[in-house]
Amino acid sequence: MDGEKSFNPNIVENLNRVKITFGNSVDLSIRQFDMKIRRKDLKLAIIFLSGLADKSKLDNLSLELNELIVSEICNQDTLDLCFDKLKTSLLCESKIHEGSDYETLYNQILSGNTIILADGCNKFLVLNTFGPEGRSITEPTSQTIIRGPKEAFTEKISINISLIRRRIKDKSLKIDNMAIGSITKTNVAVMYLDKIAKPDIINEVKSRLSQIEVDGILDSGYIEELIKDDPHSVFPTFLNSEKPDSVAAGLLEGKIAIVVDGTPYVLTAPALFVDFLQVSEDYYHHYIISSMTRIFRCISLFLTLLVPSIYIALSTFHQEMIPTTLLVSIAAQREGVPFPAFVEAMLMELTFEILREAGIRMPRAVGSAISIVGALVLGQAAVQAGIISAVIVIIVSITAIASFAIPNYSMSNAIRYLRFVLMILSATFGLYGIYIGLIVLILHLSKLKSIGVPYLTPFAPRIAKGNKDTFFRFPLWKMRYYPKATAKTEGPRIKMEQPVPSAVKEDQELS
Amino acid sequence: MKYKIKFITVTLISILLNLSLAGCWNSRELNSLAFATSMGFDKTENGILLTVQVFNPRAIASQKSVNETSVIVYTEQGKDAMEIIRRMITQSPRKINVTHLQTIVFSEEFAKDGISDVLDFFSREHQFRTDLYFAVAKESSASNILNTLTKLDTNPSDKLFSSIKSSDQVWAGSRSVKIIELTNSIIADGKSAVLTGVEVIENSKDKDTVETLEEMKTDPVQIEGLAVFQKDKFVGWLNEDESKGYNYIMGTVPSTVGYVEDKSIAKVTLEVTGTNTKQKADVLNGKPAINVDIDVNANIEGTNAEFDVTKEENIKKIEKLAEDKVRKLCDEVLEKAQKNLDSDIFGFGEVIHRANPNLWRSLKNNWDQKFTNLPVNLNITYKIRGTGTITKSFFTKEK
Repeated sequence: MDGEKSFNPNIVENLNRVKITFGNSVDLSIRQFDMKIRRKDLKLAIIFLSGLADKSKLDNLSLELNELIVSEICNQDTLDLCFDKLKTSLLCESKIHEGSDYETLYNQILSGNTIILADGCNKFLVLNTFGPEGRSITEPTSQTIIRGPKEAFTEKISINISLIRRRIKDKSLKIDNMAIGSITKTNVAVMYLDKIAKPDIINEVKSRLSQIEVDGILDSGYIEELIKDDPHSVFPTFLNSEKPDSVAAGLLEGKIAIVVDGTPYVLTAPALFVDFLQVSEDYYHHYIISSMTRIFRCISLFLTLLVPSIYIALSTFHQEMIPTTLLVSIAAQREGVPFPAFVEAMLMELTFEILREAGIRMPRAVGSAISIVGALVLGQAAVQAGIISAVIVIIVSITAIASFAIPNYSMSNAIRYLRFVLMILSATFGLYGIYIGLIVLILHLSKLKSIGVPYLTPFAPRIAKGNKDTFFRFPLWKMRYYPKATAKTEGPRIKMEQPVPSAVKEDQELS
Repeated sequence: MKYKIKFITVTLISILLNLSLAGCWNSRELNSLAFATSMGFDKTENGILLTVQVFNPRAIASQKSVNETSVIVYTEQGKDAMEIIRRMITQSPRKINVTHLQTIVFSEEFAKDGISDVLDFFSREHQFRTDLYFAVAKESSASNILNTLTKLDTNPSDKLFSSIKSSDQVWAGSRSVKIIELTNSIIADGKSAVLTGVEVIENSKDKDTVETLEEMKTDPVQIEGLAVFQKDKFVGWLNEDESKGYNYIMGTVPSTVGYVEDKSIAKVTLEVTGTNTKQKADVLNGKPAINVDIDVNANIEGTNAEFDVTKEENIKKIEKLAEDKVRKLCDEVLEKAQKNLDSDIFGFGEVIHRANPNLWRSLKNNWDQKFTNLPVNLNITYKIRGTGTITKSFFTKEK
């Protein structure tokens, strides 16, 4: 292996080695030039990968090198002095360091940096020029809001970090870098606010990340799966977000952000159950309105989980619980329908899941066909043909619409899967089965932990002051203290009382 | 590895057991059940004739108009109520489900024999609701009533149920009775039970067709008066006026309308908005007497043009007339209950029991006999609270 041999100062030999190692790939660029030193020509070479290096930085570099060649600053007595002068004269790059073995050479080239080789020197210069092409900052595709910033993360880790830095201009914001994945060597950055986040959680996250030994990390989903507390649970324990203001808000509460290069989804840990029902927009509207919207979201969570099961249980086992007039109309609709209620519900739910999946994957050109097929054929025509009853179409629609009201996609996936389990339980055991299923679900949720923090905080363990931000959102001036679960200090973070306009204050002084 | 195999086998076995043992325990499809909404009990030589009215979803379901009635009636005979319901499966293709039962109708002959056996069945069987309404069929058999179609609600038992329920709220000519109240009245020593009365207006033609129904001018099934019981046996009827008096004495008039008439004022209509009744027992020389204080509040709903409601003495005149009318109603019902029927339907025995338990112990036996001589003093205060939205009528001629 090249790394074991010591570095050969001969430039021709090194260039050959690099060309052979990279297999003559077409994007490897090698430029050679001369510099005058002690009236002799010193051969220098620049190596970079044109796909990864930033074009503007390379332009600046070439301008500077041109000036250096002309001005002959590097015309020193020894080769080493010349090399050092070269190193200190190049100002265009933020980072410039030396390397002296082949492994570093190859790794740096593969990371998009530029190498300057000098003939006769057994060191080389590494300049930070990583800056490939990528998507620009656009609107978020999956987590849309009405009011609030409309920037979203992109696939470049430097842009993502800058989006967060822009919002938190505090010197206690720490960023730790690591490269995970033996072949992809993906850049992963762990960000946290030093003065708020709990040190145990920070250390736990870092140690779990360092224990990952896979060959490739392509998305933050890989990382989530590899460091979860309970890998078999369908519930997400890391909040994934495409929006920088959500991540910044999490950091301010003492959470830890994990930014992965190559994906716009940033993970936030520890994530509690209530976090998945919150949207950043809740904080930008009036607190009463946000509280009502949050309550609607909780109701839709229950609707999407329970409505088909309750329909199956009530109409098959517990007909006495349905009011008589409703029973008359349901019975009227079920005349002539060949399937039992459970098979009907299962068929329609499966059909809707297939429709949903097809809607995501299909090309945009045939988009309208899906809505026609779904609505008309499967809904209307099936009811008129007498294959299913009209009630089940209503139930499936309510369930589907309610599932889209859950803001986080991972959480709504989990609920969707559980809905089927509850349907099977209700078809075999009736309401009793639903109760048993819900009890098991709550037991599972209570046991779940996210980086050591129980999932159902602040309900269980009960933190009295922590309930100000769960189902309701108390006004900002009332949430005085940091959340106990994730922050190491108590606060106070808000030092003002309720805002009072100055006119009223003057009146109070007069009285 | 061992733990994993164990985990997988346990999961598979539980799923299989779930599907096979649970076996859809107690699961019944909606279209394999017939929901009974009314039941009628008649007496035959051998035992009971049970009539069950079941609603027919197919008549409501089809989009084209079918010539099917919205209810189907099954009749069956036997000795025991539960057995008869089961035996109906020989007639009905679906199992009769009694969880949505709304009304139960007894015939007079059946009620004369005593209804406590059937009531035990109703309170014991877990499938019966506790908000059933009970009624007694007047001059007809229960199966006759259940076989009659009605006009507004396509479901006749719905109509009966709503009529009884609404009459409780806006009409004092009858009242609704549910099972808990009925059982309490029957077992109490000092009170007797009453039940709603239902009758069918006879029609000479065949009743069971929709066309005949459209030709009739009144709805064939009507609520009429109250049936009076002694213990659990039926003894007689109260007509509409007597039922009103009964409601006044019991204080269960929520709102009703009546009129008063006089030579000088023609007719004034009054709407009663509420009554407040107190029944108190007084004991004089070891003999009990009952004082009933009735406070009635009313509004004037209609006057004749000559009558000036703004004058104080006119109002007092109306109040006196109304008071006399209420007194007459109450006297009528007291007379009927004490002299004709010998049945303490007002619960005066319970009032005496509460006031003086020692005295009650000696009066308890044969209370119904002693009730006939019980002096009852009525104290009626009638107050007119309002005159509606206008004071003088538009049509008053200025004098």
